[in-house]
Amino acid sequence: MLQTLIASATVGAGGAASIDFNSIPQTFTDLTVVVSGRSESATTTAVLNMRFNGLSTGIYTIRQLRGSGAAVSSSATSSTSFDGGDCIPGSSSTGSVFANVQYVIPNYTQTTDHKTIILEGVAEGNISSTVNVVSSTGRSASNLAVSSITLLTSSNWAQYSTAYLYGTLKGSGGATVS
Amino acid sequence: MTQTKIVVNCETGVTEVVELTADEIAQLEADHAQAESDRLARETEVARIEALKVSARAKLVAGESLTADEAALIIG
Repeated sequence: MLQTLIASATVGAGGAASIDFNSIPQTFTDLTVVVSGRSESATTTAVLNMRFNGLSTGIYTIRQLRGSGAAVSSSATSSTSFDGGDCIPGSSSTGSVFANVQYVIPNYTQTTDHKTIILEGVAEGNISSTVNVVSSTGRSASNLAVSSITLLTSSNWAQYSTAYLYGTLKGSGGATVS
Repeated sequence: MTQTKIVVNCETGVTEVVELTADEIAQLEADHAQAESDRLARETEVARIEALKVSARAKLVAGESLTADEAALIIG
């Protein structure tokens, strides 16, 4: 398995409404998106959302497990974006802390089935309470190959937020077990 | 204030800061409202579940009957 950095983005002064990766090469097997993010939302935590190919209709279904402090919750929903839960620190959280989030999008080039999305994320707090952990899976009900990804939060992305897009290529070596 | 987004062209490697169009701003405002509504709904649900837990725990210890919601919390 070979993973290659395709592109990255860092939010500058003044923030950004979204981070968009366009013209994603169709030469890999899977995609991984790694986000270190903070929102300008005037809340302790903010929502992380993702869209494929600019599609903003209700085609995204999400199954989610959440931990906030010692409280746990879960949900099964559909939405106009892949709702990654409240795993982004907002401007009311501890200063200068950022979320750590990883998405995996397997088989993103296929055009016969819907796309699966897997997310693991944590809103860092550098405090002993109310640190949100989110584990989500879901799908985008579209057969289109993923050629663009948009990352959104409840408000603008704060300065120094970063996103890295990696492509994973399945290996050609190894033995076949029969 | 001008709203901008970061656009990375993965083919060329060029990164641009692009001003949002009126349509994109309208979509963004709808997205932000939806995100905040989703966040508040989750916060409310967590508070509801935690209150049910406290109540169910106290009733079990006291040997009292649980409500349907409290029972559902324990056995689904």
